[in-house]
Amino acid sequence: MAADVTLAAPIASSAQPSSFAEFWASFRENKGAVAGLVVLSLIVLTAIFADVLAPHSPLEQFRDAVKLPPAWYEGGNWAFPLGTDALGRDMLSRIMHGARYSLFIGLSVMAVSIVCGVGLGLLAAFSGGWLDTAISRVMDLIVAIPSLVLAILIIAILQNPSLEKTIVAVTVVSLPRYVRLVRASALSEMGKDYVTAAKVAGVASLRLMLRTVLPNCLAPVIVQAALGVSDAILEAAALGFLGLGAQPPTPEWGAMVGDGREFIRSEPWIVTLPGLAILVTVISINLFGDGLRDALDPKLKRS
Amino acid sequence: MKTRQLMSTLGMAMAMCLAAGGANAKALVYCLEGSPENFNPALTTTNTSLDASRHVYDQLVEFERGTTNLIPGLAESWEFSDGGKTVLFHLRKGVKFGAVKDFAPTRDFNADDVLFSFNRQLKADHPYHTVTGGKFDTFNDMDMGKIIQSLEKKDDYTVVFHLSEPNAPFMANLAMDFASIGSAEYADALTKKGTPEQIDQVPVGTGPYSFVSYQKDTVIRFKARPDYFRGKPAIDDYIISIVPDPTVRFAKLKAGECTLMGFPRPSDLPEMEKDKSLQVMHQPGLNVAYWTFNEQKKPFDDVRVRRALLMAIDKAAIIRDVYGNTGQAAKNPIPPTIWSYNDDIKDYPYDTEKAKALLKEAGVTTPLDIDLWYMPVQRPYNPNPKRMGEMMQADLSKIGINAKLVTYEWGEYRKRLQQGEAMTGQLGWTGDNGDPDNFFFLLGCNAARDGGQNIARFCDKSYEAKLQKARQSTDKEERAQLYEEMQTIAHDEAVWFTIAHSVVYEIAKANLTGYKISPLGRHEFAGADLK
Amino acid sequence: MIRFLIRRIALTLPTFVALMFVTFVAIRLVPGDPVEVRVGEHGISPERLAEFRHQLGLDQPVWKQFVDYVWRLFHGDFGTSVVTNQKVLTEFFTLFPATLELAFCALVFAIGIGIPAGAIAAVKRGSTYDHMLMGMSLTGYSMPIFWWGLLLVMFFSERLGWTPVSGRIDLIQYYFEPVTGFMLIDALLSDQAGAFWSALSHLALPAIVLGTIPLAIIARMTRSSMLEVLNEDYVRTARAKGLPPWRVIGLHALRNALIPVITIIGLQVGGLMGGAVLTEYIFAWPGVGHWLIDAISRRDYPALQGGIMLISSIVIIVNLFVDVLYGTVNPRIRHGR
Repeated sequence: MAADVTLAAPIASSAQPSSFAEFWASFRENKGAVAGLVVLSLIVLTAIFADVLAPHSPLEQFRDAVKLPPAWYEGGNWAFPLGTDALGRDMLSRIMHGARYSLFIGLSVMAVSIVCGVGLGLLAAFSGGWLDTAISRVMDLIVAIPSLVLAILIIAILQNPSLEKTIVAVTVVSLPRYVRLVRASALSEMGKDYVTAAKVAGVASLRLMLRTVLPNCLAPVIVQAALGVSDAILEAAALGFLGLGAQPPTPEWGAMVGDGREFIRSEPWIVTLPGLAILVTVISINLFGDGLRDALDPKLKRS
Repeated sequence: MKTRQLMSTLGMAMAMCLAAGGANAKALVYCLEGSPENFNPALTTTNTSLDASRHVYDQLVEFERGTTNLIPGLAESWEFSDGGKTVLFHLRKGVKFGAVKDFAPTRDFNADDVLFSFNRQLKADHPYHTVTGGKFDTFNDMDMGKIIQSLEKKDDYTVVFHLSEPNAPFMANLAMDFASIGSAEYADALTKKGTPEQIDQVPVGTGPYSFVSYQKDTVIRFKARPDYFRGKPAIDDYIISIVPDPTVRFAKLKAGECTLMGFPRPSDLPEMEKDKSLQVMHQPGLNVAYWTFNEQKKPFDDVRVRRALLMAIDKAAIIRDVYGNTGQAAKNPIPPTIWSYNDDIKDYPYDTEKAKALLKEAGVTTPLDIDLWYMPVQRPYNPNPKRMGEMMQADLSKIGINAKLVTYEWGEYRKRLQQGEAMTGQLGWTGDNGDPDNFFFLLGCNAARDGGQNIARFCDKSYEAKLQKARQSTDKEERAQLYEEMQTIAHDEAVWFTIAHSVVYEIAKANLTGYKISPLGRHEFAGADLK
Repeated sequence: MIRFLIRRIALTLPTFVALMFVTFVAIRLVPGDPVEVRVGEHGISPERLAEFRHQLGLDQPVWKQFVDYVWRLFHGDFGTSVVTNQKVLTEFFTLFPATLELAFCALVFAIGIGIPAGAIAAVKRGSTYDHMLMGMSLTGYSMPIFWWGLLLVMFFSERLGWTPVSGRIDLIQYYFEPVTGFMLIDALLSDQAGAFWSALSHLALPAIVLGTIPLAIIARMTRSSMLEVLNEDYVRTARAKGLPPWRVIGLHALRNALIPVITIIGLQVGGLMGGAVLTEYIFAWPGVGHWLIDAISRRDYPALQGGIMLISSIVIIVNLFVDVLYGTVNPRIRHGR
C-alpha cells in the first residue's frame, strides 16, 4: 500500500531517540527552526497573557469607533493600534485572544489524535487479522472523503457548531495519518531482531507493545504531531471561515476572516490581519516541526 | 403560396441571425443570488427561484410593473356574480406560446391552458399533480385549495372560477407567480414522450422571453419573443448569471459582467453611489425584522421585563452598523408603506438605566441568563443577523443579562422557533400582497400554537377580536381604524422589539433604462432597454 | 502482477461497503427534516408534512431504508435531490467536469512550476534562490487558502482588473451548448474567437489558489529527491566523464528524481478534492464541492448521500490506480505488506 509506504519511508531510517542535549545541538544548527521556535514562543506567550497584554476586551464594542483603520493610516487612532472591526471591537485585542483559540484547537486535536492514533495503530499492528483490516479500512474511508466535507458533516451531526465540536471534527479527520504512521512503524519495528528476541524470551504482548515497540515508534509520531498542529489550525480556521467553527462573539481567526469578508475592498485590514495571524502561526509551527524532524532524524537532514 | 413560404423562411432565418448575437443584439445579465430549484413558479416560494422562470410566464391578472396594482393579463376582463362566489374571466385571443428546443406550439393560448395550470395544483388526481414532487406551497399557503371549488370552461375563451366563499384578496392572489399559466399542449406532448418532469425544467409559457438553456449553478439563458402579445421586448438576450456572494456580485457589476444585481451589502453602498457608471435604485420594502420573546417562558410573561429589553437595545446603532442606508428603524409591526400604519406611536427610547430599573421592579435578579437566537441566513429584511445578534448581546450585558447566541440551520431554526424552544429570537416577515392582515395575523391567537407563526405566543383578547373583525369587514376606513388600535396594543404589550423595515436596493449599470424596481421583490426586464 | 492487482482491489471492496454504511448512517444522524427545509416563513401543515415524508420513504423502518438504499445503488440509482427533484447522478455529473477541470489545471500549474523550481533549487543548493524558494514553499503549504483566495481576488481582479471576478466564461460575448462540460474544451470546439482565452482567464485564479499547496509540496519534494539523486554514484560518474551539466541534470538526475515525486502527486488527489470545496466556495465555481456544501445547509439528504458516495468512490479509485501504478514501477511494494 503506497500510502503506508510513503509514510513509512522516513521511519524505517529513524535512529534511536537521541538524548536531549544531542537533539538540541542539532536543532540549534537550523536557523529556520530556531526562528520558528522564537516566533511560536512569542505567540504562545501572547495567548497565555492575552488578558494582560491586550489593550481592550476582545468583546467590547466601541460604537463610536467602528471600522477604524490601523493607527498608522489616516483616521487611525493609537488607542486601537490595528484598527477596529465592523462592530468597533479592537482588532489587536481580538487577534491576541484569537491566538488562544487557534493554539488550543491545534494542541487539543494533537493530544486527542496522538492518544487515539497510537492506541488504534498499535492495536491494528499487534492484532492483525480482521481487526487490523477493519481499522485500516475505516482509516482509508476517512481519507477518501474530502476532509472539509467530512468535518462539516460531523459538525452537522453534532449540531450547533462550537469550539469543542470543531475539535472533534478535526480530530476525526486527522486521525488516519497517526494510525497509519503508528501501525506502519510498529510493523517495521516488529520485524526487527530485538522484538523477535523479546518474543522468544516470553515477554507478554501488552508489555511488548507498550514497553518495547512503542518507544521506538515515537520519533516519527512526535514529528507528525508538530506538523499536525499546524494542519489542525488550518482546518479549524477553514471551518470558522465557513461559520461552522467557534460561534460569535468568539474572536477565532478563521471566523474573523469569514465575518469580515465583505470589507475586503473598503476596510481590508479587517480581513487581512487575522489571515496573516493564521499564516504566521502556521509557518512558525511548520518551521519548528521541520527542525524537529531534522534533529530527530539525522538521515533525512542531509537532504 | 410557395413564395410566401420562402419569404417567411427567409424572415425567420434573418430573425435567427439577429437573435444569434450580431452586433445589434442587446444582452442583459442579471446577477442572481442563488440557483433556482426548478422552473415552475408554482413549485417554488423564493423570489430567487421565481426570478428564474418569471419571464417565461404570464398570469390571468398581473401586477403592473413596479407596483402592486392589478392589470389585465391573459384575461382581458372579469365579472363577479353570485355575491362574489363566481368569477368569470374573458381570455385574451391570439396569444402565442413560446417555443423551446424540443417543442413548438401549434395552437394559441386558450381555456384548456388555464384549466391545466390550476387543476394541476388543485386536484390530487391530476396526472401532473405529483410530477416534480407536487409541493404547491404557495397555493396551499394561500388556502387556494379551500377557496377554489372548481373551474369550468364555458368556451375556448371563457373560464369560470367557482369559489367556496367570497374572498377579497382572491384577485391579487391570481396575480402571484404560482398562478402562472403553462401550456396544456406541451404537457400532452411530454406525456406522450414519457418525460413529464421536463415541464418544470424546460418551461413553456406565453411570457416575453422563451427559455434557451440552463447550466446548473452557472447560467440561465432566455431569448426575447418577437410574437409576445405585448410586443417584442427591447433586450434580445436575457441572461441570468448565478452569483451567491454579494461582494462578488458587486465586483462583477463593476467589471461589466453583470447589468443588474440585487441584495447589495450595505457596506458597499457608499462606494456604489459614488460610482458614475452605476445607478443605485431603492424602494421601501414590504417587510419587518423583529426580535421577540416567548411569553410562555419566565420572566418574559411580565410586560415590564419585555419593556426593559426593548429599552436595553440601541436600535440606532443597529440601523447604522447593520443596515447602513438600507433600513429605517421600525416602531410598528407593519411597514409605513402599508395603509393603516399608525404614525402616532412613539417608540421606546434607548435607556439603559430605565431598563435596569424596570427589571428590578419586576423582581428579576441579574445576572440573568437567556438565549438569543439569531438567523443563520441573510434575509431581505435583515442583511446580517449574526452581527445584529452580537450587538444585542453586547447591549444586553449592560443591563446584566447574559445572552447566549444560538443558531441552527435555517429550516431547523424556524421549526424550533415555532415549536417555542427559544427564549428570545430574531425573525422577520415579508408581505405577499400589501394587505395589512398579511402582517397582523402574525400576532393572532390562531398562530400562537406549536408550529404557528406567532413566536411571541402573544394572544390578547381585544387584539384578536379586532383582527377577526377587520378580516370580515369590507370598509377600508373601519379596517384602518381597527389596525391602528391593534398597533397601539402591540406597542403597549411590548410583544416585539421591532428592528427595521429594510429598504430594498438594486444596482444597475448606468445604461439600463426603463427598469422599475418592484415592491414585491420581483425583477422584470420586459419594459427595460439598454442605451 | 495480476495477483497483486486482485488483492489490491479486494482490499478496496470493504472500504466501499463501509462507505455505503457510513453515508447512510451519518446522514440519518444529521438533525433536521429535509422536508422542513423547503418551507418558507409561511409554515406547512402536519398532514402535508406526513405526505412528503411518505413520498421520500422517510416513514419506513430504518433497516428497510438501508436495504433499499444499497439495492438502488447497485442499480445505479443514487437518489433524487429533495430540493431540485433531479437525479443526484445527473446533477453530480453535470457539475463534476467543472471540478475536474479546476483540479486538473491546478495540478498542471503545480507540476509545471513545482518541478522545475524544485530541480533548480537542488542544483543551486544553498544559494539565495534556494533559500527563497524554500521560504516560499513553506509559506505556500502554511497558507489558509480561503484567505489567499480573497487576497488574490482583491488584488488581481479588483485592483488590477486583470482577471474576471468569478464565473467560467464571459456570458455576454460567448454562448455555446456544453458538449463535454469542460469549458476549455468546449470553448475550443465552439470555434468562437477568444472563447478559449476567456475561459482560461476565468480559470486562472481558482486554479492558482487550489494549486498553491500542491505546488509547495511538489517543489519541496522535487528538491529533496533531486538532492539525493545528485549524490548518487552514477550522476557523479556522468559529471566526471565531462558530460554537459544540463544533460546530467536533465536526463539522468531529474528522470530518476521524479519517481517519488509522481507518487506525491498521486496522493494530492484526495487533498485537491478537499481544497476544491473551499476554492469553489470562494469563487462560486459551479462544481461538486460547492454543491456538497449547499446540500449540507439545505439538508438535501439524498444529494449529500449520493454526492459523498460518488466523490469518495472517485478518490478511492484514483488511490487504487496510483497504488497499482506505483506497484508496477517499484516491484518491492507488490510483495511487501
